[in-house]
Amino acid sequence: MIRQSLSDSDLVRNLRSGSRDAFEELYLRHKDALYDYCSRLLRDGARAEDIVHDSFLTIWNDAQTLKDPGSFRSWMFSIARHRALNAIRDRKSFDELSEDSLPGDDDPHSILVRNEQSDLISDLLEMVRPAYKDLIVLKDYENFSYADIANITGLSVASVRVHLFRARKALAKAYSKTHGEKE
Amino acid sequence: MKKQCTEYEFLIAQYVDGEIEEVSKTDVFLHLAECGSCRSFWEAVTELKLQAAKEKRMTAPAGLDRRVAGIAKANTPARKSHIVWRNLVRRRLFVPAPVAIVLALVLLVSGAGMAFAWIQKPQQTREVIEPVVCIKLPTVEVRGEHAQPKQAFR
Repeated sequence: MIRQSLSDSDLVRNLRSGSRDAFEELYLRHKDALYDYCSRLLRDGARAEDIVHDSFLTIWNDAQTLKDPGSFRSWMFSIARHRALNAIRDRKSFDELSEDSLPGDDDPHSILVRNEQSDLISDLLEMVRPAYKDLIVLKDYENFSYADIANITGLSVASVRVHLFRARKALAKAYSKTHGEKE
Repeated sequence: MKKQCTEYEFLIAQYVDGEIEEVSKTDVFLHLAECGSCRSFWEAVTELKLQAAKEKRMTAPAGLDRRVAGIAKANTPARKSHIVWRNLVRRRLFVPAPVAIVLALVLLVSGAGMAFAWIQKPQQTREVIEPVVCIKLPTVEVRGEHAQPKQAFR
């Protein structure tokens, strides 16, 4: 069993040599954060579970392609993000075909996820553009720095700065709208 | 005035994210003290950030653990080494190989051209170098016993 004192970088080095224990430890460390991120982006528990699974499959297969083991967390989120955005795109085209059915409606886990997300901010996030939502989730929920977000999204740090400002502005606008209505 | 407030809002967003430069902090505080519009933006952004921090994080379902555990069992390290080689070949050869082929072709064509030019060159020079020089020698007339030679140029 791998000791918990090992850093992610050490675990990634072990994973490269095919260590299953290292893979298991990395999964245990990051599964909840990754699942939380995917669930917030998709608002569909079952789909988020699939994406986390597929992301870890990619991590297992392509760990050798990661140049800097220190950037494992960013790399892992970029894999999941790419898949989640594809899923959103696919769902949009699917929704256009069948407007009467919501994704994951019958799945009890999806219902639970939706109930858990009935907080104010989650509802507000649905009111802003998906690109802004993605940045807000990465910053406010997963606590990534601007530099990390730049690595995950492929944007420059300056672009992240500007996009996050616009995202916050859009969110604040939606907030004052709903807040004003309640009062 | 409005433009100035937008600039401050940009700095406020960075301040809330903990990514503002120290130099700009005082500037932001001074502006917040006198601008109500920017103050309400700051309040809204801070409130939303706090709400996000308070929100309960979702945990991965137990079924996912079983599925992910199956990944490492199904894929052996031997298969992984194959992937390493595949990636290595892709990375090492995908860009350099076509570039090397193009360079080799360029060198081949230019080499053949130079060789052809070199073969052609001596024939051309032979034709050019062969000049027709016409020199008319002077006629010398000698008369008498001590007569001086007389040259006549025509």
